[in-house]
Formats: sequence, C-alpha cells, structure tokens
Amino acid sequence: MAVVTIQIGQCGNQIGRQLFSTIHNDITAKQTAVSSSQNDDYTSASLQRFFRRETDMHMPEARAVMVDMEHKVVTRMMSEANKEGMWKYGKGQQYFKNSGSGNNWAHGYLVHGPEAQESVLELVRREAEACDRLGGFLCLMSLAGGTGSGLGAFITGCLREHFAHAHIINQVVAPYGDGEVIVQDYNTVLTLSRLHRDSDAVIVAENDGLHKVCATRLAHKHVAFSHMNSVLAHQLGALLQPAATCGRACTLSDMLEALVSHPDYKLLSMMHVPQVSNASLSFSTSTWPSLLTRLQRMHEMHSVADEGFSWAAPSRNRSVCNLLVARGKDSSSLDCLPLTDRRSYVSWMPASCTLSLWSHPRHYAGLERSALLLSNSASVASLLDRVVDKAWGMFSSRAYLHQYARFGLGEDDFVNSFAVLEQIVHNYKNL
Amino acid sequence: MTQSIVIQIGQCGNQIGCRFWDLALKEHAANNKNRVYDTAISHFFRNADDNFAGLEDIPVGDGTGKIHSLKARAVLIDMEEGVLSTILKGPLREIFDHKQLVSDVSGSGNNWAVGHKLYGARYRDEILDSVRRAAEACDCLQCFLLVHSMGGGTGSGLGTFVLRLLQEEFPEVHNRFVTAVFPSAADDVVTSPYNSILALRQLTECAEAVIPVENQALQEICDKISRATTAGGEKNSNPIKDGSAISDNHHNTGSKRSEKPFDRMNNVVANLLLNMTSSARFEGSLNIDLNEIAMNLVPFPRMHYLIPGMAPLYSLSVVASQPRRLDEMFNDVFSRRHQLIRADPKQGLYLSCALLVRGKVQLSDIRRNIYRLIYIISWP
Repeated sequence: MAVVTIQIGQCGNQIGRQLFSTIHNDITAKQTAVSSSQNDDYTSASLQRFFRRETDMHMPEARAVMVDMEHKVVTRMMSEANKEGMWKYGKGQQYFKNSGSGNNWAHGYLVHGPEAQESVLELVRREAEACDRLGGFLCLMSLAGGTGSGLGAFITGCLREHFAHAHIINQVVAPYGDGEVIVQDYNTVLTLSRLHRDSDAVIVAENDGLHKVCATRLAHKHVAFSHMNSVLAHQLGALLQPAATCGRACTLSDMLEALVSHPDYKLLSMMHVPQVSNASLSFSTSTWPSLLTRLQRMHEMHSVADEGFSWAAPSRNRSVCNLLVARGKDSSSLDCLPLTDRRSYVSWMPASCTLSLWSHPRHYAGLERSALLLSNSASVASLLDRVVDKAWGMFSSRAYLHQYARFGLGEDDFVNSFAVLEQIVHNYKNL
Repeated sequence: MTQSIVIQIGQCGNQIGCRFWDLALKEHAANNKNRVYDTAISHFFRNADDNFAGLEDIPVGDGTGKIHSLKARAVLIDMEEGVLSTILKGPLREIFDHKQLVSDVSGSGNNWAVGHKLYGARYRDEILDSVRRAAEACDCLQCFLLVHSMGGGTGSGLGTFVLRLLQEEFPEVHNRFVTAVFPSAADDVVTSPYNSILALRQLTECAEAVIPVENQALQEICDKISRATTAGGEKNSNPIKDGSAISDNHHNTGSKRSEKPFDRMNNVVANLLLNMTSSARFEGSLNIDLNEIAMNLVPFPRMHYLIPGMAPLYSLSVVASQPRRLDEMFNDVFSRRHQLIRADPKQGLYLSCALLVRGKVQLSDIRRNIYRLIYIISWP
C-alpha cells in the first residue's frame, strides 16, 4: 500500500519535509528490539509506502507533490532534504508560481485553484501511477494562510472528483488562537466547510497545543516552528508507519473504517505519549498501563500536551470512536481497559466498534513503548466554536469582505460556510 | 520571485527615493557577498547587460549569475530639474537610465492644480511609457510603491495623477502603496492645506494602502537619536553602535560624508520601506508579502491609512541584557515616540495591527510579547 503526500503552502511543505525525514530516520534506526526478518518486513513496507526507488537504490524519492504559490519555501525544503542526503524529492514533482496568495482564501480557491488544476493533477497522477497499490492521499496544509487553506481546499475537491474511490485524508494545522494572521478565522471557516464535504477524514492539529508540548514536555527554551513541525511529524509517523491489527497489516481504509463511521463526524485529533526530550530519552521507561492512563487523562482534558491540564471544570469528553496505535514490546497483547469506558462513548456506537487497536512490536523513534490515540471526539468542538464566534463577529461588521469579493467570493458563500460549520459544532457538542 | 516598482514624484519624493536606493544597495551588498544576481536583489533591481546596445536584461535563472550592471526598477518624475540633475550627477547615477526619468523645467509652484491637471495631461503618455517599460522588465509585478509629499505641487498633484493612472492602466496590479509625507504644523508652504486635502481625496479613492509620514515626528525621532549619540559623549565613547540608527546614512562604512539637511529624516522613511519589503525579498520561517500586509490591515476599502512605527531606533554598542531589550522593543513600537506621525496609537481604537519582526527573534519571544500587549490595546 502506498500513500501519496501532497504538501500545500508554506506550512504544508515544511511539515511534509519533516515527516519524510522522521519516517526515514525511523526506517534506518538501529535499535529496534525485533528480529531482523521482522525488521526487514517493516522497513520494506514503510519504504514502499512512502518512497520510490526506481532510479537510485540508495537514494529513495519521496512520494510527494509539492505545491506553493511562491518558490522560496519549496526550494528551501528541497535543498534541506538534499543536505541531509538520506532521501530526496523527485525531480519535477513541484508546482510553484511567482506571487503568493496574500492570505486570501478566495485568491487561493477561485484564482490559483483553476490555474493550477491541470498541472497539479498531472503531478498527482504521475505519483499515483508509480504506486503498485494506492492506499490513499495525505494532504498537508494550514488553515490560516491563503495558499494552504484556499488552494488546499480546491485541490482536495479536485482529488475527490478525479479519484472518486481513493481515500483522502487531510492533516490541517490551526493557527494560534491569539492570531498569526488577522483573517485566519475566515480562512478556517471557508476551508473546513469545503473539506467536510470533500475529504474522508480531517486531522486537526493546533499550533497552541503543539507549542505547549514543545514548551512544557520537551523543554525547549525558545520554541520555533521547526520544533512544532517535528512534533507533528513525529505523531503522523507513529500513525502511518506499518502496523498490524488482528494479524493482518493495516491500511488507510482500516483507519477510516475504524474512525469515520458517520459522515457528519469527520474531524479527528491526535495525541501521542510519551513526550520526552532527546536528552531524557535514555533515562525514561514506561509501562503500558502508565502510558494508557496518561493518554486517557489527556483525552479527558482535551490536551495534546501531557501536562498543564486545567482541572477547572472537567466535562466528560465524549467520543464517537477511537483508534489506538501502540508500538513496542508486548503491544499486541495490550489491556486497553482505561480507554474502553462505555460512558465516554456515544450510545449509538456498538461496544465492539468503539476502540480499535493497531500494534507493532518494533520500537518507534527510539522509544521503547509509545502509543498514539487518534480520536473522533468532542475535543474539536471548542476550537471550532471559538473560530466561528470570532469569524461571525468580523462578518457581522462586514470587515475584509471586499478583499474576498475582489476575487469573486460573495456574502452568500460566507453564509453557507458558516451554516456548515455551525452544524458541525452542534453535532460535536451534542455527542 | 516578485518585483516592485518604485515611483518617486516631486522634490520630496525623489530625495527620499535617493536615500532608499542608497540604503537598498548597501543592504544587498551586506547580504550578497558573492555578487550574484539572486531573487532577493531582483525584487528592486534589473541586471542589465550593457554589452548589447539595446540594454538586454539578464534574467535571474538559477540565482547564481554574476551581476553585470544593476538598474533600479524605478520611475523618477519631477517638474523642475534641480533634484533630478543632482541625482544624475551623484553616486547613484549608474542605477538609473535616462528613459526612466520624466522631467520639465519650471515646476508646479506649489499648486496642486498645475501638477494634477496641467502636467498630468501634458506628460500622461510619457509617464505611462516609462512605467510600462519598467513593468515589462518584470516577471511578476507585485506592487507599485509611490513616494511623494502632500504639501507641494508636483508631489501631491502629479503624484496623485500618477496614482489614478496606475489604477486605470494596471488594474490587475492592485497593490498601490503610497508613502505620503504630510505637512506638519510648522510648514513653509502656504498652500499646503489645500494641496493636502485635494490629494487626500485621490488617495482615499485610488490607493490600496497609504502610509502617512509626518516631518515633525521624523524630526523628533532624529533629535532623540542625536541626543542619545551625545549623551554619554563626554566620558565614554559613542554608546550607539555605529551605523545602527535608523537615521544613519551608512551601514558599516568608515568615513562620514557631508550630510544634506533632510538626509537623516529621509533615511528613516527609506528604512521603513526596506523593512516592509524585506520579507518579500529574503526568506524566513513565516513569510509575509506586501499582498498580505494589505489584505490583513485593510478591513474596509476606504479605511486604508496605516500608522507606521519602528523600534529600536538604534542599538547600543554594549550589548546589554537581551531579553529585556527585546521586550522593551515591543513596548516601544506601540509608544507615541516611535511612530512616524505625531499620534498616540494607544489612545485610539485599533482596527488591525501587524508586527513585522526582522532578525534574530525567536517565535516564543514574539508570542510572549503578544500575550502581554493584547491587553494594553483597545479593540472593538
């Protein structure tokens, strides 16, 4: 099974580069505590999933399409990959123009989208044809900017149209709550309304949460975007690397089957333990019960970071369903009791479908035991509520609308998008 | 890979423009030790190959070609010859060619109508030609930066005529940024109120964003810097790092040339323009373009007057405790003394605000300061 990654915008490209580096480092890791035949199975499956090796046996090429409206970031990411010297981006798999989208969703969606459609689809088709068995598409983008959000939403729509049966998963990054870009709430609302229709699953990561992980657990004195990107790449790697469930290998369709059983509930959040800095890696061990309890507590407290919970008013976090990916020793015979409390799941979900377990005995990223929880739960509701509130506040005074109208996005489009988002928030709040 | 064209009109506009090109060359020289013609430099300069008689431009290519002869992407307009001929005799004569200049002999006599109606009609085609030539030399033209004063005749009259012309003839380049120098209370032109009001109407209708600058505020900033220069002067050596003040003429050069009267104030405005476009030229972890500045700061089409503030005004040669200095910088940029017009932003209501940070500043420092400052400012 192969996954084609489409990196859109500055954020998407930066995360994508980190993701491939993380995966490649994991593949070439030495201490894995499994037999060499198991290791070979794992590494070949992982290589097959993310890289191509047609031209050069020692320098695999990432199965990726890089899209951006300006060239600075794409060229930088390619040169960083070349500098590392372990893998590289395929030549010609990049699409970029000269002038950016100016943080304007309408510019990305209505102007750059149709312009880029042919070329980008051609690049995607090329990657898809190079796969033996296409597992699905992973789109990396941000919600605040113009290219990532607008062009990303458009490309997702194109993918849905042209690859009607393929699985499309979007990894989106929500900006800091106090603002990176002034119109970020508009862009978020417009993007999510389109993704909800076109994508199969949307994994929402927040800069606030990632920042907290870096600042508290990983003890970075000065948190930079590169730190946050590597945390997110780390989590995505833990999710997408080969794993097994009930004796057979896991695919993207297993993930969607486990998590997105109802079309109204597509937004997922990711949490990963243990969160240790590289310095303390050799000093920490953990047992499965402790890891699972921590995950369960983080899930309850809607927190991506493993500390700093606000114990003020813990409302029970209700989930539709969860997926647990455990990597390390004895992971297949795991006792998931902490996460299977019937009361934290919705009543209309049968008990056997609430929690799925994937596992692999190989160590991931030097961690003896690690667990990732991908959950379809009400944690996203608070983020969306806040965003919709702020966006509506701006919309009611008609602020910035002329900037969007300039590219053809009228008030009706806004109102429709608000309606879709309100519906999503309502659904999640009433779980 | 975008380009901008600078259009400087009138005596004030051309003098500021002169300082701007000087500082831009110095900035690129400091950053580009190998003398290659890369995308950063191509934002404001063309690489002309003067072996050919027709002055063919050399494209950026892969960014490693050598610089042959830099030409500024600029159009210089003035209705009297004094300022332009000084420029053409001065050290910057190499980067302009005579096709980019539009000039006349007699001047506008501080009369907006003469500048706008009379010279506008007379020189419309010539100006359009020059701009079109500059625009054709660009791969991807992103914005027009106009610089002129509001009180005079040419700057305000002909300047706003050019603005309207750009709106009509280049509608797809909707980024028209105007750096307008407003007259202060103590102004030497009697008709400046009339000229300013007439020009203000044109700016409101045709510009994308206007960055007002006031002579009085610039004067106060320059005074503040020179007070700091002479403060510790008796016993210690100069506490300010040489060349770091935003009103300085020369970064890292040894000798001091003779300075003209308005040079220090013009340097401040030139630095403002350079810093605003720095993210479009150089790369960073969170790039912001001129598109984005306009998009985020202008919520309603006619309310597009942006108050500029800069900090720090200079850096000390003794590097004191960094974190406190950094936080002080964020405080300062909102304070009354650091704005380029005489206004106290904290007294008013903010519609939107953008912080462009340049240099070795960590993301966490920025976020810490934003948390703090959000509560000091009043939002609707």
